[in-house]
Amino acid sequence: MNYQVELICNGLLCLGALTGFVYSLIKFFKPKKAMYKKMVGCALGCLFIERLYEIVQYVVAGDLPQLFQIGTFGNIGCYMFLFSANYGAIDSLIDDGSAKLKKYRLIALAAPLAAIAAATVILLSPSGSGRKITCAIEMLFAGASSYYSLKHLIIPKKYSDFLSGMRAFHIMSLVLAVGVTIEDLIWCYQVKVQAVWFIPYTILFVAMIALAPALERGTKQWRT
Amino acid sequence: MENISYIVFICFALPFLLGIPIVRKQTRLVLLFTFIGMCCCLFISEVNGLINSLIGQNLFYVTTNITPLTEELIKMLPILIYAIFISSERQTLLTIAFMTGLGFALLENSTILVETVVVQGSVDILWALIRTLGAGLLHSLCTTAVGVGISFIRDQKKIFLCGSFALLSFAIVYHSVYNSLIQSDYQYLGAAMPMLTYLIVVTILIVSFKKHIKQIKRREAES
Repeated sequence: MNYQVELICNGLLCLGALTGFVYSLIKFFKPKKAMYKKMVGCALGCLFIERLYEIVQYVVAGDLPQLFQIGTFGNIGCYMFLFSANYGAIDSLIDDGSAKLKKYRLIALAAPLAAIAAATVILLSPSGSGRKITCAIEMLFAGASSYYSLKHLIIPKKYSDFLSGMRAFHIMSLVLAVGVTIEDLIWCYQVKVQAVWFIPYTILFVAMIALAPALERGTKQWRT
Repeated sequence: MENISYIVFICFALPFLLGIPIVRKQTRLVLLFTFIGMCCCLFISEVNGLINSLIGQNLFYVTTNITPLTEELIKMLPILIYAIFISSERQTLLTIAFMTGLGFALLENSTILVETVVVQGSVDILWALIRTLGAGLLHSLCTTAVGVGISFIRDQKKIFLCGSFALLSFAIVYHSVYNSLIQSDYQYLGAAMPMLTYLIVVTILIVSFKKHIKQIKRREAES
């Protein structure tokens, strides 16, 4: 993809992530606010720093490193925060491990399986080994995070009050993971058609902007 | 000049070690972790040199993609060990995390200062300010961020594991962005980054503290 177009797209994504991060700093980082919200805010911070890394690499070095690039840790950090929020903070309040929720646990496995499939496709790509391995590892973290997002999305509201109003947030978390997966696939298969590149960038921009407001809206409905 | 980092270590770090048995407990902890931070810096400079010779990449690639990873990992270890075996009290962990980062930055800055003076003959105040407010704050802030995650080690183990790793990831990329900018024509932006973060963190802390005091006063008035 054209260097300038790549830079502008990453700049817009960085702006989107920064908007989400600042929104979460103002809304979520207050005393007595739920840890869950703070972790989602940190996830947006990770996305912002990852995009900032890419912009700085383009401006300073001219391109992203062909070997291992450390910016991937930004995306991994984002997934870990989302995973930590869903698994560490609220999963035990939603899923008590009973048999009645077994169906939903099994269906939610589709997300990590899709991530493993994406990682396999990435590993088969003609790209350099450093890039392939980094993207494949990223996919595994995306899969782990998406498992809880999908599970909390499909479990009916009647099983827990914490699910009420959170659907939009979980959908946005999944959209984020899908956006990064498509971006990695396009990157590893070195797709030359510029129009294709705008698909993941548009998806990611929407997810970054909408994630924190969706959570704020969802958690307001918790209280009422 | 060979072994410059060892000479600087002896000059700057050993006095901290000698002070440890003399001072009181809380100050002892501060001195100890500043010293440990310096030890981390000395150790990792050797490791980074080894990695640099092994992977055979240019210095810019190594300093922006490898050293942030190794440095943040090594700085995290003493705090993790302290949290596991001694105490997971949050305020203590944040203090020792900050001091470890500060010790690391102190030795790094001292070594670079001596090397620069030897090579260039002199340095100016602006250089010193950029190094101190840039690298000095960067190391302290990154290690403190990781310390926040580690402080959940006993209360919320699920959050501790994933949260610490996520905060470490954030610190690594943040460090890399700083290293990239500071070596480029935009070095002032690089130096401004930790300063801005520091100001945001301090503002949040002051606002929270004021709110906390107000709440206490309100409760006292009500009762």
